[in-house]
Amino acid sequence: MFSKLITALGVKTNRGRETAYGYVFVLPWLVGLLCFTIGPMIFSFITSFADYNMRSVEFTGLNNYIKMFTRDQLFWKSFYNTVIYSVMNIPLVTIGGVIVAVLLNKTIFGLRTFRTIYYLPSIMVGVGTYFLWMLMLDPSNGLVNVILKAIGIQGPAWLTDPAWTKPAIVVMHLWGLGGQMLLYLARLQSIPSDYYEAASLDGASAFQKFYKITVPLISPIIFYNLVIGIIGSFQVFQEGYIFSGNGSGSPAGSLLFYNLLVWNNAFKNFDTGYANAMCWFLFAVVMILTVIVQKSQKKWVYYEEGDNDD
Amino acid sequence: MKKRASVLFLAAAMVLAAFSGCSDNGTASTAASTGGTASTASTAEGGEESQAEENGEVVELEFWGWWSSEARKPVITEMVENYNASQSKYHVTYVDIPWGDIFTKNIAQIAAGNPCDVMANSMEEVRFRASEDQVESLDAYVTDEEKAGFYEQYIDACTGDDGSLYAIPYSVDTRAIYYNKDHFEEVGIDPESIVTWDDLTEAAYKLDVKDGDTYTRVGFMPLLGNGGVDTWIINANGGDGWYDQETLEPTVNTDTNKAVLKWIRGVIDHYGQNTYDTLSAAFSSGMTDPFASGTMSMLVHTSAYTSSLTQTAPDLNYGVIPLPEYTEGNGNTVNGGGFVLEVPKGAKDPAASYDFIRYATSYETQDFLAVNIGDFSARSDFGDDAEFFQNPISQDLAKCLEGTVTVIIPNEIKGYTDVINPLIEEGTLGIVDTDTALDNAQKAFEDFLLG
Repeated sequence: MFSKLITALGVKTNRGRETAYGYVFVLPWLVGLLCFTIGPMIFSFITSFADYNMRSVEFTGLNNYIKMFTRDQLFWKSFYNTVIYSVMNIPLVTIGGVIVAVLLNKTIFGLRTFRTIYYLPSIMVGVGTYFLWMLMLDPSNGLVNVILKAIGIQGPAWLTDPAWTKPAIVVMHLWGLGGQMLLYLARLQSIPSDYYEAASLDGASAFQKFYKITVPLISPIIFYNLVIGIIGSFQVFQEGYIFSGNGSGSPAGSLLFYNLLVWNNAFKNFDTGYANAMCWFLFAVVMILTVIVQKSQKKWVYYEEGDNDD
Repeated sequence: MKKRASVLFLAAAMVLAAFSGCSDNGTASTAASTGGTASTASTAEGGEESQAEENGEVVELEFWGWWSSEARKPVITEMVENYNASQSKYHVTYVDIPWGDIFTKNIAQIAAGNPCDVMANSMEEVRFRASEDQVESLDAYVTDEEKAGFYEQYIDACTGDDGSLYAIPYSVDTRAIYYNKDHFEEVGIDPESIVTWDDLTEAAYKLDVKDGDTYTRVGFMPLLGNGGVDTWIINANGGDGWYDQETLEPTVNTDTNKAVLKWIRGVIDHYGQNTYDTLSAAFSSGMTDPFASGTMSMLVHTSAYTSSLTQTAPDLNYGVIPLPEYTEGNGNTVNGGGFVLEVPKGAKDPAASYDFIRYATSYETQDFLAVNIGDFSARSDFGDDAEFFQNPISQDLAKCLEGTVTVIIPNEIKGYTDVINPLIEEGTLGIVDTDTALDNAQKAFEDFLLG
């Protein structure tokens, strides 16, 4: 049917037909992108300059952006919470992933079992895991504090003390670093053992081998995880929503993350235009950070065979 | 160049063809618009429905709620089936959607112009939703006689700033202090002797049991269960105490409010922060209920707590007393809320939706729901002889309902709680002293009004 249609439209060469078929094959994706990504993005950008409540649009110029920076007391609080969380979460999860991957790259007894155990949490997603962690972080009977008590440490009230709520979420994310670990592990497996043998012959210590061989060779994966980690950290939402019970960001606003405030503005206060403006500010921040990391990669990311040109 | 243009044309044609698959079946463009603010598509569907009605076809209606538990869903489903059996024009289907999703889905439906037909929602927010143009007015369908069947304060909560009625109360709740009768007997406390807050703390400390430094039984903690700082502020002030009811000026750091917060923090200090943290974590994880397990002797909770206790601790010997008075003669005011049934804006046949709402909020149905679920009705025509009130706990809770106020935050200051609550919580958690916490919250509220 398409063949006839294409001929009728005057596409006669093979190359032209191939192009036309190419468009047919990408069409579902193209339609999806237009309808569900580009379209809503344009709409959200336009309504970020309006008083929009999902029922009516009234343009107010830069009012939403001015309110965000000058009048909204919760805006900076939520931004601060998100930045503090990201600063704790990104390095710890990245370093943790590398360390676990390196440990699981050794030839030890029960290696496959350990790898499976470390990877399992990353396939357990959703609200269930948050409730599981609420039990594990229980101040008196939770597993975390029971273990800490066994080694003589009085564990904190993880989810009720505002000073400990963000570290609690970082601990939870450390548990789920299997996804990152898998990527590192895949790369580690492809590093030829000759490099390490040669280094050993030259008298390099274990740390030197790690620092001079392993790290440079897995740096593209570190770079990838860092970018994904930055984007993910700034999008933290569910943890704040579920651990605070009612979406308020309690205790004492310590779990009021940026996206939780966006959600509250959009769906509780129906100030959707303002929420859209907040989204665009977040987009700008994440974009700037990503560009900085991207620019910095020339200094620390090692690509083999001259991949470093771009 | 020509080739490229034809390929682009081809791509555009395919996109259009793909979109045409998503469009309505054509009646949308031909149906006559019957006015109102409803979108063309929904008006058209409304037209179809009316036509269906005229042809004697059954109109399908969706009723959205979040009640999915074993205790509630079968009763609601039975109620809906009874309605379907009682008439032949409409057929209602109950759709339960989790609490965390239902409201966002509902607003998305309303924005898209194709919402469900009947929606359960919170009573406190009806006025706000009405001002945001999310609900259909029911003025055209509700008679004065029907309105008179409900307590005035609840009808008032369902009335928008424009004076129109936007919802019908479906169930209401109140708060009370649940007490463990066995503990009271053991220590020799008469529940009726708890009249003021001082009596309450005195009784609580008598009920405490300690093993070394650890409390194995805690008499009472004001913030646990389902009573926040608001509950005690409302009780002490005889209504919402965070702002002036007339001028809407912030009154967060009044002497009364400072005394209330100091009292709350005092009780937590008595038991120690660790005890509070442990019990608080137990309530939020939902795995253990310290009152049901006998670790706490008294707990402030809503009237709906009885149905949860029936499931979690069927053998618990408990009773209820009203929230005591701040000082003698101050009144047993308590905050309560409730749920309503409403017709989302743009629903295809509001008259049909209201027909179901009328049935669900009628005396007979409300009696059926009260007996089987334990919820209180907002209807004023229930006498003491109603089947539901034969249960002594229900009778006691009904007394608490008399002192219940439903706090409706005026639309002008909507959102102020988001700003002040974290600062007040710093006081209850002991991060700053309680007076400073309230001063900070007062300042934040004032700044909020400027913004």
